Amino acid sequence: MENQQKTFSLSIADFAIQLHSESLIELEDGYLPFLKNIVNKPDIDIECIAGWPDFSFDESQKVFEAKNEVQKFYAIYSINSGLGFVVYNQQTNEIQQIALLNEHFTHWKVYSVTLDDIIMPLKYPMGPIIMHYMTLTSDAVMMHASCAFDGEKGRMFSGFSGAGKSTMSMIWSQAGSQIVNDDRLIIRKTDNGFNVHNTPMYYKDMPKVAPLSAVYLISHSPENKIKKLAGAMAVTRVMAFCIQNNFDKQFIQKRLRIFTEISMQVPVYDLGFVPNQSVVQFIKAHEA
Amino acid sequence: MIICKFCVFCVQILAFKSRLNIQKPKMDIQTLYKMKSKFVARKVGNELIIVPLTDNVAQMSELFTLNETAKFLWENISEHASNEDIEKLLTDEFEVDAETTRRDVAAFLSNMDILLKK
Repeated sequence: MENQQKTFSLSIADFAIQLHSESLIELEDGYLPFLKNIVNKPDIDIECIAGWPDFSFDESQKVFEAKNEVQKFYAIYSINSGLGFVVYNQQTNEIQQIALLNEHFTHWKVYSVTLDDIIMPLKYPMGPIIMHYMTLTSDAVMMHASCAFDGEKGRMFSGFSGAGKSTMSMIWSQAGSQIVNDDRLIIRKTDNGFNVHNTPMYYKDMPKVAPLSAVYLISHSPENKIKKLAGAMAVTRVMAFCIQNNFDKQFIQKRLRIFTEISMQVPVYDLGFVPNQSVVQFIKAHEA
Repeated sequence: MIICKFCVFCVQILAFKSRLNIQKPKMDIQTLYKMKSKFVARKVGNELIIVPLTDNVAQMSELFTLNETAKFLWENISEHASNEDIEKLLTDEFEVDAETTRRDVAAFLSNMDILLKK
């Protein structure tokens, strides 16, 4: 089966990722379009192990915990050689993966529960966690945002849940733009600016990339209205929608630097919009 | 906290201006000084962004934008400085009257007190 092998090579946002195991690895469908042969040394190496390790994090300091009132997502521990992760199943709240990440964030050991001798090391939320730490190895950030590419400009739309990211994607799609993704993106620095990439989701979608031409922080409004943001306000407003684990000063410093660069090179707008085609012309008229 | 459908990292922002008319700060300069190491700061033009370190998603991404006055205040908090010392520095730097600086320092401390308790 295409989705069950002992090794996989992936390319996500131009990061080369290799998974390997002595057991059969199963990838969720969303990863399959991102399979790609790697010629050189991978940027991220993921050693996948069936079963549980013979160590625990009981003596380690818990530095971060992602949970809400109803469920636990993951916990992060500081260990001598890097970070340790305990990741929970989103349905059962039982431990789903235990992972070790080296201090350079380039090598993972992912221990997974086995089912019929098959392991799923990237099963959500482990995959997005790995992608998040992957962005910390380069000038890249992971965002809650949608992006529409009209063949010339990549327009990124970000906002709180319910602000209209998916609605905006539908409007731009109807206007002929390609939707890079409507929920999660990676912005990566290039020689000429910044590119926006999609990432594997729970559904199959081809890898896509667009130049980042403008950032719109959106909200619903009775009329279309736009305001250009500058300075620290632009940086903080965009950074708010970055996916981040702010327990480490170096992470925050790196994010602040990248978002300052993005905000200096790419216009950032506050956009109140009416959810119909009028916003497409409104945006284009105000970009000039 | 706002939780998105597909994500486990959810974040929230609070961009904040320091000049508000809050008169009775519960925090003093020394308390704030002790908490300063738990923030990461970056200058952007005449403003300063400060981001608190956090150990969970509920408190993540409380990013604060400090204006020029608040930035000056933040940068001049030191180990032995009192409220009065900071007010004097502000008065000298911005050439405003003592009552204005007293009100500004009080407003800043009140805001920090509120934000750090979130």
